[in-house]
Amino acid sequence: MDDSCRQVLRELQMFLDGESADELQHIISRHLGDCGPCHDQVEFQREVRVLIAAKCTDCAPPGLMERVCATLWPS
Amino acid sequence: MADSTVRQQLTDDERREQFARDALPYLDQLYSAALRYTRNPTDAEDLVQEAYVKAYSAFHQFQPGTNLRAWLYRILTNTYINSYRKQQRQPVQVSADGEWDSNEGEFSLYDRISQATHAPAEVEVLRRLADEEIKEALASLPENFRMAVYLADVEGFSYAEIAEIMGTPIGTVMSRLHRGRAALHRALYEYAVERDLVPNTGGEEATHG
Repeated sequence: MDDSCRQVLRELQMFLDGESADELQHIISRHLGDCGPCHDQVEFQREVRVLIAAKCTDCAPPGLMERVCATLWPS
Repeated sequence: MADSTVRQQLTDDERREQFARDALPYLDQLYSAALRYTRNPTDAEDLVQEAYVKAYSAFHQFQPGTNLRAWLYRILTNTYINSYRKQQRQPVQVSADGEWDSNEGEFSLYDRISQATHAPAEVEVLRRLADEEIKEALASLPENFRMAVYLADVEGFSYAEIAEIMGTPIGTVMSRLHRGRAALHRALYEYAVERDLVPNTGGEEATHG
């Protein structure tokens, strides 16, 4: 692990959130192309987020839309 | 801009039509968020309904061309924080940002799984968790952290949008995300150990539950 790897780890959250400065985003992307271990770690973190997002999404129960509309616009 | 004055001149019918067209399609997403906030389906339905009532009555204040989705989430979140939380069926532990065990801030799920399996961590391990276990892992976080993580990781809001929705500075959002994700990962890891999806290395003592 060199300084570039440490920078990636430090910046990991902001990088994955797309909130790093453009230049840094670019530097990290390039590093990930060259460094297997960092690439694996970042991909893992990305996939964990995808998994959580997929599992923590629910549809409104049947009838809620009608209930909301009936409250907003009583006939 | 001209747009904002136009909005105020809408007739009741036009306002209703616009709200139905633009705001109501977010019902599923808002319900999903409400369920993460309240952790109870009945409360979540009530919260969504109340948020829509507030949004409709404030719809003339919404600036066309700005982010309607974030605006609706802000109303949902405010409704939950300001009034709803008090009458919750399930007791909540409100955690101030400073009060949470700071050990929660450092946890590398990747390193832990890699160490336990003696190989680079694969997300496959976590895919074998039940849906309910993943939901419970998120539900186990203190409220402020749970909301921030949900808004970022599930809804994909930016830091600035989350700050606006939760009414906090961006620095607070970042810290809640950092600590919230670490705690979420720790909870997922502990479920994975409990289910024998990864060997229990017996290193750190489990703090979950």
